[in-house]
Amino acid sequence: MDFLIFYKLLKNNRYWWFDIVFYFLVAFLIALVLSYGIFWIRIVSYQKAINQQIAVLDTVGTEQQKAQEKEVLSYIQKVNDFAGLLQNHRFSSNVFQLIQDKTMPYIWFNQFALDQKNNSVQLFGEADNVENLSRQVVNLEGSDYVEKINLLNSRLGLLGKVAFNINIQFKPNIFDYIATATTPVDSTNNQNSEQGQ
Amino acid sequence: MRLDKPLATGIIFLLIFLIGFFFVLPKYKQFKSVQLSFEEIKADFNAKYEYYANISDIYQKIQERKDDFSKIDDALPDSPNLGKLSYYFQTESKKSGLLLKDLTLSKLSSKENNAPAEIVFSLNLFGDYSSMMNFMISMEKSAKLFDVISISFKSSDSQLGAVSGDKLKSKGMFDFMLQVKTNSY
Repeated sequence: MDFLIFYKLLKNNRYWWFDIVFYFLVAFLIALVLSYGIFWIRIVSYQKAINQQIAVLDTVGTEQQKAQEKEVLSYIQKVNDFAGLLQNHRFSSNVFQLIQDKTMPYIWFNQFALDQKNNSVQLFGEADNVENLSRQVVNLEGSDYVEKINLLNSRLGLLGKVAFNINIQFKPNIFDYIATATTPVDSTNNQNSEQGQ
Repeated sequence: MRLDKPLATGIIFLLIFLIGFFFVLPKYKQFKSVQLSFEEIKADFNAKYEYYANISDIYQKIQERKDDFSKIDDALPDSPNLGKLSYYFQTESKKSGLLLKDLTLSKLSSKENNAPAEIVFSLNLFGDYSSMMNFMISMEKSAKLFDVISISFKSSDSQLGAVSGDKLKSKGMFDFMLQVKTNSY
């Protein structure tokens, strides 16, 4: 493209719009130079502000505040850990209370082994006769807290008494905290006790 | 001297392009980047300020409820305090009417990932059933969390020692073997 033709055309003829284009471009150039200056000034002022802000930022976490933070974070962790432990905290005395409540007259226990991990108890004892032992087993099986009785051995002794051992599998909720004192509330207790007598 | 407007226009146009492309545009990008950094630092400051204000607020609340928090400190001490624990077992068993025949530290797990360590004691106690119940209940009521992992006992005399129904639960003396778990940092 030959720009010289345009150049000669514009130079030899006075077009009214060309003045507008010329002055617009002059104004645009001035604006461009000014905007460069404005950007430069703003950058400098922002950099100053950033430096000030960084200096202020360092004053926020003072030694005292950091010490408080350390203590607070340690307590937050402690509270969380404590809550977890409390949730898994198990009340083994409930098992004893339940067995006490469920044990009928003429039944004696002389050996006891509680395995909290497996929710089971192995009991060794003596009953005055087989009927009472059967009632005792029924009584235990009827409890809301007993999952099942998975072992039952009995042997008739010399004096007519029956030596036995049973393995009781409890439901996990037997170890939960029971607000009403230490005795587990068992709805089947009274009914079964009456049955037993 | 008359201004050669077409030539001047061309030169101005070229200058606009050169200044705009090589000076103003990079400066504008630099300005935007500095502005963004400033906003980020400001946001950081606000977040940090708010964070420490919350920390200070929580700290004040902890100070106000120091008694409650000291219970958690008792339950989860910063160190195992084995001496304190053995003293506790000795005094509590005595108070409950039991004789502490043997006390062994079975397990002291090292703490992992800042999680509480497990301390397991094996206790051999001698006494009657009611005393044992008192001891267990006192452990369950203690500010420190004790979990009885396992318990076994048998009558020292099979004729006398027995636990029966509603009447009193104990007619003799038993040897109790307990495994008790507690935690510390």
